[in-house]
Amino acid sequence: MPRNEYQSELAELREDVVAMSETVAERLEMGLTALETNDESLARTVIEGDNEINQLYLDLEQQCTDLIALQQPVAGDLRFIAASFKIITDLERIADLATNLGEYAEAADDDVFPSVDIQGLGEMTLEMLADSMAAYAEEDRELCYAVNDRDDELDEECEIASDTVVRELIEGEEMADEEIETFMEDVSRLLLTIRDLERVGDHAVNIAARALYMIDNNDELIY
Amino acid sequence: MARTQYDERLTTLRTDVVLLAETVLERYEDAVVAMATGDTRRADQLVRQDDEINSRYLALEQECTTLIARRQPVAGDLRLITASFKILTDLERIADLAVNLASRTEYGAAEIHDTIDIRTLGMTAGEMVASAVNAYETETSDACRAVAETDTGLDEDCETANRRLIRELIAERTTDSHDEREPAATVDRTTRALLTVRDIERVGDHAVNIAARALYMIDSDAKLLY
Repeated sequence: MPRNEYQSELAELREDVVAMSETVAERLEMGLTALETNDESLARTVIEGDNEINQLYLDLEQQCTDLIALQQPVAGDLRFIAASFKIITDLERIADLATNLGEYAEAADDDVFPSVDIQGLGEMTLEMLADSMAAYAEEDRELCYAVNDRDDELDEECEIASDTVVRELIEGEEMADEEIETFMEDVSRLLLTIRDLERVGDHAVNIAARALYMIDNNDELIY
Repeated sequence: MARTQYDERLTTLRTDVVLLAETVLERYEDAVVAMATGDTRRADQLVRQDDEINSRYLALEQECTTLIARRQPVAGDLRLITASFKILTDLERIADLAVNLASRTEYGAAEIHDTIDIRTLGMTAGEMVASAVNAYETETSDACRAVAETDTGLDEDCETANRRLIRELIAERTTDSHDEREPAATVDRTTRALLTVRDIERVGDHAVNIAARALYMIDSDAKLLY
């Protein structure tokens, strides 16, 4: 393969990974909306769309290994491909978490604790995902660190949210036995939602960490 | 690189991944025991030792990319290397989760929460990691599927543990003895327990990831990958 073609394949890989992240972000947003509006058909769309993401993921993985095997890239190019290879795993996992949100939306009856701002947490994760991908696409090291800092904030917000749930559980009114079952379902789902959003943040940090390693060979954020 | 040298490096890669897995698993199991017995001394050690895992992890990752770039492997060899490359990430994450458990350990607290059995949950997840790594090492596809099945049980047990914690909080409402400090302590204890259950469940998920990669490597079967 001539040099130019190799360069354009690298550029194509970058574009494809970014495109995958946009699809994943869209799914995440849909999952959040489905939760907010109790929209079961939107929830279904997210759940059923997961196959498409999975296929995309395996195709991109193939693209990465083909490039490494055929071009024997070194230094920067190799780090870029290896980063892409790892980043797509994180994207695929974020899509799985979006699917989880869809499943919670399908099962949910109503908001148990409106004081917990799920949508606010969701916004944060969407921004972190967008920033981490911009860091990768534009090789922006400052953004890598920014995503990492933002995750501390998200973790804190998630912890506050869980604490609120736990506190309200103790402080609420006494309940009849027949009420408890559905209430418990709703509470479990809320805690799982918080947990899943926190995980989305972790994946965004993984992406940022890989981007930084690719840009500067700096492994500071990888662990 | 001559063919025999290359074959040797492939074998070494696999052995090294398995050795890293053994170290990670040992740390994780120690973290579970430290937590269950309130052994803060061991827990502190575990937190400090994480750097060693991280550097072994990056060195092995480097070996994977070098092997792909130099030898342009195809079919089975390529699948072994890419599987190793992905499995390493899961191992490193399990080590991070072990550190989470260790840093949540409290001195002398025999159990983090008396309504749930952290040791049993934790050990189940640990055994799953061991089986998944073993499936990778010995290329046994049935073992890969078994790990995925065990995970369904672990998820259920974790969910049951969570419900028990929630139910206990609801039950607290009926008790009148509301000392000022009591709710704060309960919130703290329950939150720690919920986080611990979550981390153990994640260890199980990583075990499934490893099994899924192993299955993909052995049979080109992507069924467990997502």
